[in-house]
Amino acid sequence: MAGDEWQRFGPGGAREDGSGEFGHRAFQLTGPPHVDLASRGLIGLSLKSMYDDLLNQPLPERFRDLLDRLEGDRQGPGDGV
Amino acid sequence: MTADPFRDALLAQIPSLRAFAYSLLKDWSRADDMVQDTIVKAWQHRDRFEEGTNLGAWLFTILRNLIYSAHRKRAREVEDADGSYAARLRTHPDQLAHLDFQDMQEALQKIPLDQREALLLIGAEGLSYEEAAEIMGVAVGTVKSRVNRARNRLAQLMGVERQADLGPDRVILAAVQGG
Repeated sequence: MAGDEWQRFGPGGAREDGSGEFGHRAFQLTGPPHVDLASRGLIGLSLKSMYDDLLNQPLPERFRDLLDRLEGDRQGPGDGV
Repeated sequence: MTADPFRDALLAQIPSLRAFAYSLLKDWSRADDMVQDTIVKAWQHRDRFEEGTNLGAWLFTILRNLIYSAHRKRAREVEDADGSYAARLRTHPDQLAHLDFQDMQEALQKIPLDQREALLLIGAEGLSYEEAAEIMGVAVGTVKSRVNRARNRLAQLMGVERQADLGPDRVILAAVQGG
Protein backbone atom coordinates (compact mmCIF):
# COMPACT_ATOMS: atom_id res chain seq x y z
CA MET A 1 0.00 0.00 0.00
CA ALA A 2 0.86 3.62 0.06
CA GLY A 3 2.74 3.41 3.33
CA ASP A 4 5.25 0.93 1.99
CA GLU A 5 6.29 3.20 -0.77
CA TRP A 6 6.65 6.11 1.58
CA GLN A 7 8.85 4.05 3.86
CA ARG A 8 10.94 2.69 1.08
CA PHE A 9 11.93 6.13 -0.04
CA GLY A 10 12.00 7.58 3.41
CA PRO A 11 10.60 10.88 4.57
CA GLY A 12 13.15 12.73 2.48
CA GLY A 13 12.81 10.49 -0.51
CA ALA A 14 10.84 12.83 -2.63
CA ARG A 15 12.83 15.89 -1.76
CA GLU A 16 16.24 15.09 -3.01
CA ASP A 17 17.36 18.66 -3.03
CA GLY A 18 15.60 20.00 -0.01
CA SER A 19 12.74 21.52 -1.95
CA GLY A 20 10.44 19.86 0.53
CA GLU A 21 7.14 21.16 -0.64
CA PHE A 22 6.68 18.38 -3.12
CA GLY A 23 6.98 15.53 -0.67
CA HIS A 24 4.90 17.25 1.89
CA ARG A 25 2.15 18.26 -0.47
CA ALA A 26 1.94 15.04 -2.37
CA PHE A 27 1.87 13.07 0.84
CA GLN A 28 -0.79 15.20 2.31
CA LEU A 29 -3.09 15.23 -0.67
CA THR A 30 -2.61 12.02 -2.53
CA GLY A 31 -0.79 9.64 -0.23
CA PRO A 32 2.59 8.40 -1.38
CA PRO A 33 5.08 10.61 -3.16
CA HIS A 34 4.78 10.19 -6.88
CA VAL A 35 8.41 10.16 -7.75
CA ASP A 36 8.98 6.46 -7.59
CA LEU A 37 11.02 4.78 -10.29
CA ALA A 38 7.97 3.89 -12.34
CA SER A 39 6.63 7.40 -12.60
CA ARG A 40 10.11 8.70 -13.24
CA GLY A 41 10.37 6.34 -16.18
CA LEU A 42 6.94 7.31 -17.41
CA ILE A 43 7.72 11.00 -17.12
CA GLY A 44 10.99 10.52 -18.94
CA LEU A 45 9.36 8.62 -21.79
CA SER A 46 6.54 11.08 -22.04
CA LEU A 47 8.97 13.99 -22.13
CA LYS A 48 11.03 12.33 -24.86
CA SER A 49 7.98 11.49 -26.92
CA MET A 50 6.68 15.04 -26.63
CA TYR A 51 10.10 16.34 -27.66
CA ASP A 52 10.30 13.94 -30.59
CA ASP A 53 7.03 15.33 -31.87
CA LEU A 54 8.57 18.78 -31.75
CA LEU A 55 11.76 17.63 -33.46
CA ASN A 56 9.74 16.14 -36.29
CA GLN A 57 7.83 19.30 -37.07
CA PRO A 58 8.35 20.34 -40.67
CA LEU A 59 11.01 23.01 -41.02
CA PRO A 60 9.55 26.38 -41.97
CA GLU A 61 10.81 27.70 -45.28
CA ARG A 62 12.16 30.84 -43.61
CA PHE A 63 15.17 28.99 -42.22
CA ARG A 64 16.46 27.72 -45.55
CA ASP A 65 15.83 31.17 -46.98
CA LEU A 66 17.75 32.71 -44.13
CA LEU A 67 20.74 30.43 -44.63
CA ASP A 68 20.65 31.11 -48.37
CA ARG A 69 20.67 34.81 -47.66
CA LEU A 70 23.53 34.56 -45.16
CA GLU A 71 25.51 32.43 -47.54
CA GLY A 72 24.85 34.85 -50.39
CA ASP A 73 26.05 37.77 -48.28
CA ARG A 74 29.18 35.88 -47.43
CA GLN A 75 29.99 35.01 -51.01
CA GLY A 76 29.52 38.61 -51.94
CA PRO A 77 26.61 40.45 -53.47
CA GLY A 78 25.50 40.02 -57.03
CA ASP A 79 24.67 36.31 -56.96
CA GLY A 80 20.98 37.01 -57.03
CA VAL A 81 18.14 34.57 -56.25
CA MET B 1 25.57 24.37 -54.96
CA THR B 2 26.11 24.37 -51.23
CA ALA B 3 29.38 22.99 -50.02
CA ASP B 4 29.58 24.86 -46.74
CA PRO B 5 29.81 22.38 -43.87
CA PHE B 6 29.00 25.11 -41.34
CA ARG B 7 25.75 25.88 -43.12
CA ASP B 8 24.80 22.21 -43.23
CA ALA B 9 25.66 21.75 -39.57
CA LEU B 10 23.55 24.77 -38.66
CA LEU B 11 20.65 23.50 -40.70
CA ALA B 12 20.84 20.13 -38.98
CA GLN B 13 20.60 21.79 -35.56
CA ILE B 14 17.51 23.85 -36.31
CA PRO B 15 14.93 21.22 -35.32
CA SER B 16 16.57 20.88 -31.90
CA LEU B 17 16.79 24.63 -31.44
CA ARG B 18 13.13 25.04 -32.38
CA ALA B 19 12.01 22.23 -30.07
CA PHE B 20 13.94 23.73 -27.18
CA ALA B 21 12.75 27.28 -27.81
CA TYR B 22 9.16 26.16 -28.22
CA SER B 23 9.28 24.18 -24.98
CA LEU B 24 10.50 27.26 -23.16
CA LEU B 25 8.21 29.78 -24.82
CA LYS B 26 5.24 27.69 -25.96
CA ASP B 27 4.80 29.96 -28.92
CA TRP B 28 6.05 28.95 -32.36
CA SER B 29 6.26 32.46 -33.66
CA ARG B 30 8.41 33.69 -30.78
CA ALA B 31 10.40 30.46 -30.78
CA ASP B 32 11.21 30.79 -34.48
CA ASP B 33 12.20 34.43 -34.05
CA MET B 34 14.63 33.40 -31.34
CA VAL B 35 16.02 30.57 -33.47
CA GLN B 36 16.42 32.93 -36.41
CA ASP B 37 18.35 35.41 -34.25
CA THR B 38 20.48 32.53 -33.00
CA ILE B 39 21.39 31.49 -36.52
CA VAL B 40 22.24 35.02 -37.55
CA LYS B 41 24.38 35.50 -34.48
CA ALA B 42 26.12 32.17 -34.94
CA TRP B 43 26.78 33.03 -38.57
CA GLN B 44 28.27 36.40 -37.66
CA HIS B 45 30.57 34.78 -35.14
CA ARG B 46 31.34 31.61 -37.02
CA ASP B 47 35.04 32.34 -36.76
CA ARG B 48 34.67 32.01 -32.99
CA PHE B 49 33.40 28.51 -33.33
CA GLU B 50 36.17 25.99 -33.09
CA GLU B 51 35.79 23.10 -35.42
CA GLY B 52 35.56 19.76 -33.73
CA THR B 53 33.82 21.22 -30.70
CA ASN B 54 30.14 20.85 -29.95
CA LEU B 55 28.18 23.07 -32.32
CA GLY B 56 24.88 22.12 -30.69
CA ALA B 57 26.04 23.24 -27.25
CA TRP B 58 27.36 26.50 -28.67
CA LEU B 59 24.07 27.19 -30.44
CA PHE B 60 22.03 26.33 -27.35
CA THR B 61 24.13 28.77 -25.36
CA ILE B 62 23.39 31.56 -27.82
CA LEU B 63 19.71 30.64 -27.99
CA ARG B 64 19.07 30.48 -24.27
CA ASN B 65 20.92 33.73 -23.70
CA LEU B 66 18.80 35.42 -26.35
CA ILE B 67 15.63 33.99 -24.87
CA TYR B 68 16.59 35.12 -21.40
CA SER B 69 17.63 38.60 -22.34
CA ALA B 70 14.78 39.29 -24.75
CA HIS B 71 12.00 37.66 -22.80
CA ARG B 72 12.87 37.98 -19.16
CA LYS B 73 9.68 39.82 -18.46
CA ARG B 74 7.53 37.60 -20.60
CA ALA B 75 8.96 34.49 -19.00
CA ARG B 76 7.53 35.71 -15.71
CA GLU B 77 4.17 36.19 -17.33
CA VAL B 78 4.19 32.61 -18.56
CA GLU B 79 4.59 31.38 -15.03
CA ASP B 80 1.95 33.77 -13.73
CA ALA B 81 -0.50 32.36 -16.22
CA ASP B 82 -0.36 29.02 -14.44
CA GLY B 83 -3.56 29.65 -12.59
CA SER B 84 -5.54 28.75 -15.66
CA TYR B 85 -3.95 25.33 -15.82
CA ALA B 86 -6.65 23.47 -13.92
CA ALA B 87 -9.33 25.19 -15.92
CA ARG B 88 -7.76 24.00 -19.13
CA LEU B 89 -7.66 20.34 -18.14
CA ARG B 90 -9.88 18.26 -20.33
CA THR B 91 -12.88 16.95 -18.49
CA HIS B 92 -13.45 13.72 -20.36
CA PRO B 93 -11.34 10.82 -19.11
CA ASP B 94 -10.63 9.49 -22.58
CA GLN B 95 -6.99 8.71 -22.12
CA LEU B 96 -6.48 6.33 -19.29
CA ALA B 97 -3.04 6.82 -17.79
CA HIS B 98 -1.90 8.25 -21.06
CA LEU B 99 0.33 11.27 -20.83
CA ASP B 100 -0.13 12.91 -24.14
CA PHE B 101 1.69 15.72 -25.83
CA GLN B 102 -0.61 18.44 -24.61
CA ASP B 103 -0.55 17.21 -21.01
CA MET B 104 3.23 17.23 -21.02
CA GLN B 105 3.43 20.66 -22.59
CA GLU B 106 0.96 22.07 -20.08
CA ALA B 107 2.82 20.52 -17.18
CA LEU B 108 6.17 21.72 -18.48
CA GLN B 109 4.93 25.29 -18.55
CA LYS B 110 4.21 25.05 -14.82
CA ILE B 111 7.84 24.42 -14.02
CA PRO B 112 10.05 27.45 -13.37
CA LEU B 113 12.07 28.42 -16.42
CA ASP B 114 15.48 27.54 -14.99
CA GLN B 115 14.31 24.07 -14.01
CA ARG B 116 12.49 23.58 -17.29
CA GLU B 117 15.52 24.33 -19.39
CA ALA B 118 17.68 22.02 -17.28
CA LEU B 119 15.20 19.19 -17.70
CA LEU B 120 14.90 19.78 -21.44
CA LEU B 121 18.65 19.83 -22.02
CA ILE B 122 19.23 16.68 -19.99
CA GLY B 123 16.02 14.70 -20.31
CA ALA B 124 14.94 15.64 -23.81
CA GLU B 125 18.05 16.77 -25.68
CA GLY B 126 20.17 14.13 -23.98
CA LEU B 127 23.08 16.45 -23.24
CA SER B 128 25.51 15.66 -20.44
CA TYR B 129 25.31 17.52 -17.13
CA GLU B 130 28.62 19.13 -18.00
CA GLU B 131 27.34 20.41 -21.34
CA ALA B 132 24.14 21.69 -19.77
CA ALA B 133 26.12 23.42 -17.03
CA GLU B 134 28.20 25.20 -19.63
CA ILE B 135 25.16 26.26 -21.61
CA MET B 136 23.35 27.53 -18.54
CA GLY B 137 26.44 29.09 -17.03
CA VAL B 138 26.05 27.34 -13.68
CA ALA B 139 27.75 24.56 -11.74
CA VAL B 140 27.09 20.91 -12.57
CA GLY B 141 25.55 20.43 -9.14
CA THR B 142 23.10 23.21 -9.83
CA VAL B 143 22.01 21.53 -13.05
CA LYS B 144 21.48 18.25 -11.22
CA SER B 145 19.46 19.91 -8.52
CA ARG B 146 17.31 21.76 -11.07
CA VAL B 147 16.67 18.59 -13.06
CA ASN B 148 15.67 16.77 -9.90
CA ARG B 149 13.30 19.50 -8.87
CA ALA B 150 11.83 19.62 -12.36
CA ARG B 151 11.30 15.85 -12.38
CA ASN B 152 9.66 15.92 -8.99
CA ARG B 153 7.36 18.73 -9.96
CA LEU B 154 6.52 17.10 -13.26
CA ALA B 155 5.80 13.81 -11.56
CA GLN B 156 3.54 15.63 -9.15
CA LEU B 157 1.70 17.38 -11.96
CA MET B 158 1.42 14.30 -14.09
CA GLY B 159 0.52 12.20 -11.07
CA VAL B 160 -2.47 14.41 -10.52
CA GLU B 161 -3.30 14.03 -14.18
CA ARG B 162 -3.16 10.28 -13.96
CA GLN B 163 -5.22 10.00 -10.83
CA ALA B 164 -7.75 12.34 -12.29
CA ASP B 165 -7.84 10.24 -15.43
CA LEU B 166 -8.85 7.28 -13.36
CA GLY B 167 -11.23 9.12 -11.10
CA PRO B 168 -14.63 10.59 -11.75
CA ASP B 169 -13.74 14.21 -11.84
CA ARG B 170 -10.25 15.32 -12.67
CA VAL B 171 -11.11 18.98 -12.59
CA ILE B 172 -12.14 18.86 -8.95
CA LEU B 173 -9.03 16.91 -8.08
CA ALA B 174 -6.88 19.37 -9.91
CA ALA B 175 -8.61 22.23 -8.20
CA VAL B 176 -8.00 20.66 -4.79
CA GLN B 177 -4.37 20.16 -5.68
CA GLY B 178 -4.05 23.67 -6.99
CA GLY B 179 -5.66 25.22 -3.95
